[in-house]
Amino acid sequence: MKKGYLILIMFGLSIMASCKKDVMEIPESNEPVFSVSGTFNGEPLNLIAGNDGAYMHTMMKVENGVNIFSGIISNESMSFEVGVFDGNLDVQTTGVPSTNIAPIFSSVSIVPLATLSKNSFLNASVINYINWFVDGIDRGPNDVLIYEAGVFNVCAEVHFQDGSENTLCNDIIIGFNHNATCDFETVLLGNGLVKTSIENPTNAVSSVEWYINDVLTQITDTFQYYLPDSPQKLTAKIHFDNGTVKTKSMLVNGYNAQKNVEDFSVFEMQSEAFTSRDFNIRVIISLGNDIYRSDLANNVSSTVQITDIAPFGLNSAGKNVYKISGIISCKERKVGTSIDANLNVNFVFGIEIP
Amino acid sequence: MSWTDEEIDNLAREGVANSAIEYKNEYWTEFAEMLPVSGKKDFLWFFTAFLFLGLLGTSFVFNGLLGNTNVQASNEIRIINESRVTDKVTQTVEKTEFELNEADVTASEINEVMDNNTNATSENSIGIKNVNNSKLNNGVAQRKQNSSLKQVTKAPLNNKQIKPSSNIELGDPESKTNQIFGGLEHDKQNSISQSTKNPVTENEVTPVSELPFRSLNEFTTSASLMPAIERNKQKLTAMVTLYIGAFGGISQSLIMPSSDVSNSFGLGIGAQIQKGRFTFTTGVNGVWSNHKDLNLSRSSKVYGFGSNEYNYQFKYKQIYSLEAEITAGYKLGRHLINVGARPSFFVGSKVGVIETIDDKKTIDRNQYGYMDGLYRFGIKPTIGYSFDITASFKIGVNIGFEMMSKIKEGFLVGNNNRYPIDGQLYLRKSIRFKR
Repeated sequence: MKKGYLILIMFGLSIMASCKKDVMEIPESNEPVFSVSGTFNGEPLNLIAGNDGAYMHTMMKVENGVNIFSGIISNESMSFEVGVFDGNLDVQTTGVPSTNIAPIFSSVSIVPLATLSKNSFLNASVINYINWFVDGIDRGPNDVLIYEAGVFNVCAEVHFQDGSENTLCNDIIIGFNHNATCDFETVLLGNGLVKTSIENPTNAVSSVEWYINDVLTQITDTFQYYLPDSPQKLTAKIHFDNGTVKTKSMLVNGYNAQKNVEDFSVFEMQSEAFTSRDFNIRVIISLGNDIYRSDLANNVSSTVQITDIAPFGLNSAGKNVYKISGIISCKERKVGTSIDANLNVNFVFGIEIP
Repeated sequence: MSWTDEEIDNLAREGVANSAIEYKNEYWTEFAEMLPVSGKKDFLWFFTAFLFLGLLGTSFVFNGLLGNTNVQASNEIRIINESRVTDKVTQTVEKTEFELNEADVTASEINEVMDNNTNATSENSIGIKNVNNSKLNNGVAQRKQNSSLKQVTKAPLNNKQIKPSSNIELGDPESKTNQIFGGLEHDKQNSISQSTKNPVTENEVTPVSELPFRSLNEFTTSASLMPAIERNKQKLTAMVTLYIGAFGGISQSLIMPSSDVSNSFGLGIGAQIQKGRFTFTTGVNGVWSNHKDLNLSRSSKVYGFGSNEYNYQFKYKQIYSLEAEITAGYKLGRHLINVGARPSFFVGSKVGVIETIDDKKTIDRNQYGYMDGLYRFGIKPTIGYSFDITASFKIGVNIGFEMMSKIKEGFLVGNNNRYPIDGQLYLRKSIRFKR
């Protein structure tokens, strides 16, 4: 009889075990990830991504050639944007903001960071005028004042006194740190033989690639080559040991040094007197039709404290998103006015960092 | 300005001393309304307590019966032992009489020999030893009365000639007892009848002061009670009945508020042990229950860049479970009243599932085996009644209530019905056998 019981029990258990069971996995609720909470202009400010239609958008904006790692929490009535400017622009590897860096607020300068002028060149006397193009925009023959920081593609259409004309283009970094710099010294050795060497490098140089009219010609520390009696575009791509890569172009005549046009490092040096924008932060708040920006207000004494940066995941574009936590205390100026509003918030933000 | 502790204490004392609390009957009325209202749940507590006491009492009765039966059985064995020893001694004595052709043995010497033999046999069991001694004395005394003793020679007893191994061997007394007494019922009857046929004569009556001391364990039943014992023994034989059964039932909803009832069907097997008027039933049923209102829900909100709201509707249409039955009962003729418990375990289900993510329906299907919304274990205190339609068919009802909450809180729309009552009507076919 015991065997009978066992057989029945085993039979029942085998039926139960063999039955197909559908699996239904219910996701567990969790706490909000991204949020801003605090006060703005004396009023409570609370935005939680996932509540009341608010959503955390992450993207990488590019302004003046500089990446701004950005995140925006917004709903139908307001948006709160935090952007972190890229740093280490002359380094090929992507710079990821670190908690070790204490970011400061970016600001729109009221004085020019750089001035594009023919007078900055040593052979200005033989130049009739220069027609400037900034990021493809014709800025005319007069001096061009640059107020904003960024990486600009500047082209100089040089008109010499003798009526000859040549054009030279360079990317210049304005308002950001240079991780390495150097000078070029060009000497005409006669019969069209030109010698160009790297001088005063701030970091050790690992290699230099020399291009004539965009054609790789030599990979040596010192360029030495025969050039014709007409301006030729000489480009040096300098690799420093610290990872900095600089690409500089100049116009070189093998027989007449007065027809040479230097690279545009002189303009970059002008902005070094100003606070660099590496990893600066900016906050833009939209309330209805009103827009408030931190970079318009005087935030010299304001503070930003980054408490944590950690990878979060991928956004809808498949790009890496970092979760940044911190505390912001700054002023926001309403665009088009001189009205400032105080902002004090704790934030947990997602920003896209490729 | 800051207050010191002493100043605060003084302020409090003055305030309390000057305060006048007016007594109002309304205070007591309000206070009484705050007390929990005693409702019908008290009945459940009483019932649970009663059930517990019933089970406890039943177990005592059973234990008592088992104890009595054990005592009776040990007494019977003791009586059988005594009779057997007497028979063996008689046989030994007779054998000795025939072996000792040249020897003249007195009755006291034979008695001494028997004592030695039985002592050796039961040296590890004082009780048996004493019993055997007493019976041996009786046996020898009877032999004294027997005229055959007159043929016994007067020669001194030779130990070599008396070999106890022929009838009573040295060794384990228990195995020896089994070896000697195991088996036939009619031996016992014979020994009893033989004992009754040999009344003790006046010459052999031992004064009370000379009776050997006996412990309670050595109590021997009077032969006059043996028929009654035999009847009791037959009456208390455990009857084990295997049964198969089918049932249908209805139950209150597991959730509230709800006016719906669920129905259930099942098949089962089990065993019923009957001892006297008391029964103990144990079994297991496979239960299929149908539900109309067991609609559970679950929602979750998962935050990330935004949030997704997951909503699930689970309509439990069928629940498959295993339900054990453990009851103790009292039988009155063909009627049986029992109390006990029915533990249960949910093994599966058929569930209608609707999943919506952000108000967009993504799943709408029936699926099997989803049990997350339910607690699997349950237990129902039960009272029951059954009637023997025939010797092998029985019809009965069980009424119980579920003590365990069955629905997980996270899935509930309403509340758990804490004590849903259910009833079963069953029909059982039994197969009896006697153990």
